[in-house]
Amino acid sequence: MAQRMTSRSGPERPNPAVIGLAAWAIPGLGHWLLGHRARGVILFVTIVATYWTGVFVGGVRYTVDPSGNMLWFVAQLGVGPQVVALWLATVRQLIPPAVPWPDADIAIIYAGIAGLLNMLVILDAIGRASGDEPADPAAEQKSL
Amino acid sequence: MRRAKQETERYVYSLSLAILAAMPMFTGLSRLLMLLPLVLAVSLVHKMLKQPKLADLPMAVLALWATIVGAMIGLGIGLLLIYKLFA
Repeated sequence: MAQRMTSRSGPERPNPAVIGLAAWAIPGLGHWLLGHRARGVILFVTIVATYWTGVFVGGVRYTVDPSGNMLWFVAQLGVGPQVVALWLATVRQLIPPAVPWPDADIAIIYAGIAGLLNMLVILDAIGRASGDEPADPAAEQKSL
Repeated sequence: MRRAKQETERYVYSLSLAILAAMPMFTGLSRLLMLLPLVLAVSLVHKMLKQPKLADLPMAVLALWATIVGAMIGLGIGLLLIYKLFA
């Protein structure tokens, strides 16, 4: 992948598009690649745990359902390819129908919020990669 | 045999969920309590992106979490009072 120099920080920074794609593919990976490893791990655990809490509470077929909750499904797509994989598994009838939790609407909220949070994380990673925000992983490591 | 077992499990599962769903405390309180970890996740991600030092993160997250939950409770009480006044 093409690397580019930024005028602000001097050292090479990864391509923001690559960082954004990585952050979408695996939540927190963008920050990890930028050297903010602790941040990346915590973001990964938080977003994935939030998403899968929703899926476990509501069930895959109810939670990942574009026909019933299109806007929430679009929000969920922010979590990454795992949502697409779950959706394809649902479409191909690989996941048996299950009785949802009585309050399954909270499951959709969990999954959707997880996707929206990861969109924020993606934008933050792209911003750091672009040099819009200070990227100082060394200071971050010292502060731990 | 296996199919019958699956059907029985499914029936018991559905029935137990139906019973749980019929309990107001379960549906009402559990829904509110489920918002607490969600607010924690939102607070954590927000502070993770804004807080320069990770060492300050736990207190900042707790403060934001308490602020949001307190505001939600305050808003709820306010709306309840308005409802009681005009109902």
